[in-house]
Amino acid sequence: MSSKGKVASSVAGERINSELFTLTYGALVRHLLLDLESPEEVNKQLDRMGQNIGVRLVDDFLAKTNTTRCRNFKEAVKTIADTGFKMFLGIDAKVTQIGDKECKMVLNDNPLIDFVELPEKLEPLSYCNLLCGVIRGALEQVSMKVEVLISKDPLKGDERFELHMKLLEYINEEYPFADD
Amino acid sequence: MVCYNMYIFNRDGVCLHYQEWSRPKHVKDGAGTLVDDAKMMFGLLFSLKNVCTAIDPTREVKRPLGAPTPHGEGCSFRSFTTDCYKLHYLDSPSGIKIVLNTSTDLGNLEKHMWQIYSNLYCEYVVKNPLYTVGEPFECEQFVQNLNKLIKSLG
Amino acid sequence: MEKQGQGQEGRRGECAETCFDLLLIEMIHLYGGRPTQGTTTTTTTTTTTTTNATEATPKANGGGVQERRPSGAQERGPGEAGAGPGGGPGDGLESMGFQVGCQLGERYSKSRASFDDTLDIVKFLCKDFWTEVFRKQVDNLKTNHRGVFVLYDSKFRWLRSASAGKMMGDNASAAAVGAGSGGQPGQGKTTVGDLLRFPCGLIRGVLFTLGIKAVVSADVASSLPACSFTVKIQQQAK
Repeated sequence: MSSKGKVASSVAGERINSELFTLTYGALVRHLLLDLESPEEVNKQLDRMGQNIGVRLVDDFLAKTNTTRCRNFKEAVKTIADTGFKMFLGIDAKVTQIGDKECKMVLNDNPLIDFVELPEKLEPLSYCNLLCGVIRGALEQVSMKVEVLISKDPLKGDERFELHMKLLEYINEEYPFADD
Repeated sequence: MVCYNMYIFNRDGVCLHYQEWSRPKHVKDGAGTLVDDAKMMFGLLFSLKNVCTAIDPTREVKRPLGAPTPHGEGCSFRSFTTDCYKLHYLDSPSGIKIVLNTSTDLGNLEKHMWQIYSNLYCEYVVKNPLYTVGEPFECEQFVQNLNKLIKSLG
Repeated sequence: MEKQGQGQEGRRGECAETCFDLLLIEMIHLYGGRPTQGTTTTTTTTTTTTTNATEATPKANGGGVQERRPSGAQERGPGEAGAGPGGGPGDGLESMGFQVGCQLGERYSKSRASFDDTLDIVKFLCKDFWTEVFRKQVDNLKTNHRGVFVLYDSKFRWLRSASAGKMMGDNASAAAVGAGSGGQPGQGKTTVGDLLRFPCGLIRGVLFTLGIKAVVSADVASSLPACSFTVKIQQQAK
């Protein structure tokens, strides 16, 4: 565990046993599966909810880490991997590939999927899709439009959990009102 | 020392919160309405930042004046003082802009501005389940704690 | 979909409380903010978590109430049974809470000896469970000795950041907003009552796992973040 990780969790504010979080997320996914027509719809809903969470989460992150500036995609990715995952989910993440516009990140663990096993008929379900939404929503708030996909998923037989992120564009700050 | 008023904007220019402790010159005698007043304030912040960026002697800026800059780039300012009042400003990377107008005798309030953002806005607004992101708010807990903080300045 | 706990709980990781807080907010925004049951309810801040329909037909599915460990995920509890046809949309929160409550109740009670009676179980809820989940004990427990318990928490953890937004101060606010949202399901404003549906279900789930069938409602009549939960026991533990 890196010393950076420790620092991250010490500024992370109150910690809780992740069981409550994991089980609650499980209850949500299960409920969405009952409510919505297809696993694909559930994926979309999870992504939307994640995005909303990301929008709020980013302020919490900036506040707790005293971050006053976010320069670019590369830096943001590193911050998410080195600090973000540790701080929020208590896990380590490693950037395995990185470029100016694309990166891959491996999580050494994923509390969301504790206790979870997917039956075959739920194959299309991307159980952790919430995470993609969270990252997308958070980065959008700091002016980066990104696409996030789960590229490897232990629930689908892969060994590790891997995220694939792509930068679509930087968002410009524009004057929001029509000149009058 | 006097704290006059405070504005919180999001990046879309929505005035999420306005609070006034003392405003000797009524808004009627200035911008006219609070809505226009807030809009003017946002315009000031926006243009001032652009101008600051354009004349920045330290870093090359490839854009012409007024061209859109990516968020987080450019030069933000922390405060300015006029003959009559001092404006303290915090611009978070997520585009939350907090403005506090005080009398000119107040020193550096950067720490307090950050407290307003991290301890008050994040805790009592962002994490408030009754708050809808992007909408103006009047959260009681936020206001109470803000008043406490403002009092502690004096 | 979910494996049950046996031998699984070795890993007790931690995460930031923010994660849970924000997840719950999204769940509340998705499933709350809609008028319950379509009835012209006048209660503003009171949430009754088990629907009338389901209470009238307890255990239609014939499951054993006394069953000591219903496997949370698979169990269709009383509330859940009715969540489909009869239940209002807000019941989603209650039944998700119920599911989680069942699972947590099982985990947290596993390490201790069996309970003597109902009071013993309620005390476990107020002390051990409350501390584990809400970081403090219940401040005050009252009972009429006929199966009604009122649990008062002066600083309910999950309400600590909650304060009314635009609509300040008056009791009418929640009702007014609720009524206004009538036509558009899912578009309505979240009310304080919505915030308490999940915890109500959670409490009901814990009790259910420990052998007590109860109706749980919550009230924030005084000021946030204080609130009280009323537990009406319908079937005692053996």
